[in-house]
Amino acid sequence: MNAQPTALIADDEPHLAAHLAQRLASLWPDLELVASAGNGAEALERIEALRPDIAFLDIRMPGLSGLEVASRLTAPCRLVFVTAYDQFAVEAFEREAVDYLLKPINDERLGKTIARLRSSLAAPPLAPPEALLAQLRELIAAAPAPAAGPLRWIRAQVGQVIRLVGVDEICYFQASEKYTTVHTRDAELLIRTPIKELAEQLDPAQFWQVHRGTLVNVRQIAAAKRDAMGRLTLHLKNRPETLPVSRAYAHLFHQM
Amino acid sequence: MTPPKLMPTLVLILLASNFLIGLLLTVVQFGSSLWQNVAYSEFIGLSIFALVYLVFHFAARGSVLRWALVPVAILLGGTIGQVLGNLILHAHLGILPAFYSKSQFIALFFGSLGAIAMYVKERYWVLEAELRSRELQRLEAEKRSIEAHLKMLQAQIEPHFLFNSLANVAGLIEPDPALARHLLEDLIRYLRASLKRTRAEGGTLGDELDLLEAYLDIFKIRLGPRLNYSFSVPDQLRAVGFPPMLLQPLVENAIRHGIEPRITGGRVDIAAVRLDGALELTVRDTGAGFADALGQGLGLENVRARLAALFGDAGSLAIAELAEGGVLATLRLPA
Repeated sequence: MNAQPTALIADDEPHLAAHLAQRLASLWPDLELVASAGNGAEALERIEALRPDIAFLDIRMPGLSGLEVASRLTAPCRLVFVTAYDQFAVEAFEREAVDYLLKPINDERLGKTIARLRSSLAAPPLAPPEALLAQLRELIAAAPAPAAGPLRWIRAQVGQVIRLVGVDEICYFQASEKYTTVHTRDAELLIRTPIKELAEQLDPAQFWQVHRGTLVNVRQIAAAKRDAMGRLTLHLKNRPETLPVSRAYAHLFHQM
Repeated sequence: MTPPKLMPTLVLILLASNFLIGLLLTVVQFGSSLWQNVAYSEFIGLSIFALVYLVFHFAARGSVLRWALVPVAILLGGTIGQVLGNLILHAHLGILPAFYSKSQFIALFFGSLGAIAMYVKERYWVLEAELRSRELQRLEAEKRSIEAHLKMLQAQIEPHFLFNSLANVAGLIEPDPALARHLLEDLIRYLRASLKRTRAEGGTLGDELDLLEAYLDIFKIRLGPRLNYSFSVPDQLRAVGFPPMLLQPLVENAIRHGIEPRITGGRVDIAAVRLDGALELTVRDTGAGFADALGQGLGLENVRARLAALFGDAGSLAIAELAEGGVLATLRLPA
């Protein structure tokens, strides 16, 4: 080691970044803090530009998360992740022997991290370990957890505003030439998604297709009435109009 | 709705009733022998039932068509039953005029009784179905309320929020003890108000606002210039009763999905007004919008479910993404 070791701290909460800097200054006076970043994008850019030996990365940051920063990094850099509570990430770090700190940071734990970093600095500069990066990519992929469940919200443009309509509020969808009309208790909204696509995305237990162009919320049906000719018509709880049921879908309303 | 399914018990009751009618007619010395009376009763009774059942099936409950068709079905059923009886018992196709008009009169009398019984049974069945669906709705509302309660408990001790806030307290103790103390007091105020709100359904809008003021003040200290917020609530509205777990999730969303993910942060503005006898609360943020947050479940379904359980149709929640950026959540409830 000829030069003084350098470090960067990335945290979107300024007091937390300042606190870590202050504790490091007290426990490791030789360490030079070259930069502080308030978001993930800034952290990535600063690390690439300044090439610090060590980066302390908060996991939850705007722009890019700490994990995303790590997986995009090309500069060799020893990483320490900082988190208030990320159970799964912490478990993965334990498994992969990746260093991490839990907030609030305490001196004893920080001291261990410093000792580990010091000994790793004595070794020749390291390339970013592929296994770790793969692991991190996996973690990031798992993090947002895209909800695979049925559609719960419909987004509809109303003038300058996009309204978010919960599916429970919707009485029925009606196909028209180019658009689909969403009928709620007190409004009619136009969306571009075709009925067929909606039928696939919505909960089939809640939305029944009763006609080629009609998808109805079962909970909004007040009664299904059959006329003398055997044709079925749906009466709704919150809408005055009635909806015809085509023969192909009449079986939905057979007696239980 | 159609009448209940043709069940074995119903058929048994029908056969037994027909038998009793045959027996009764014999006792009053109508017709010839007991077994002939019973056989005719069965034929007539079954024919009438079949036709009335069809009328009930195809003509809607309460419709004029049904009232018009039931007597026709009874008389027609009576005729068919007699013709069948004559054919099978006497190998004679047609009616026996000696008995025809009397039989029709008897058929009309008992057939009407039967139709009334069917009507009552159908009505009972419809009421029972309604009752069951209402009970189901009630149970669902109860389940949602318990879920919301649990979610609220979890939300208020959300580990990220708690540990990050405590980390800030720890970090501020040395450089700025006064601010550290201020933050700790906010956190205590927030936790105390949360516990109080969690344990009782009652409470006022003022209680909820106290909790939210502490919550936003904590974030103001943590995020610094990235967050600004304001409350605009007339003093007299603070005394209005206000259930927990309605406004807080909206503010939490504004912070978590609006302000925190945005590098430059933004504003959160909370306002309350009384509008035509309703209490209208708005939470408006200038943050990232909900494009990325939709998949994660915003906790809004719970708010909606609670609104429905507490106020039925009188409560509503509207969420809109604004053209200038950010989200406007509008909560309306009777007050």
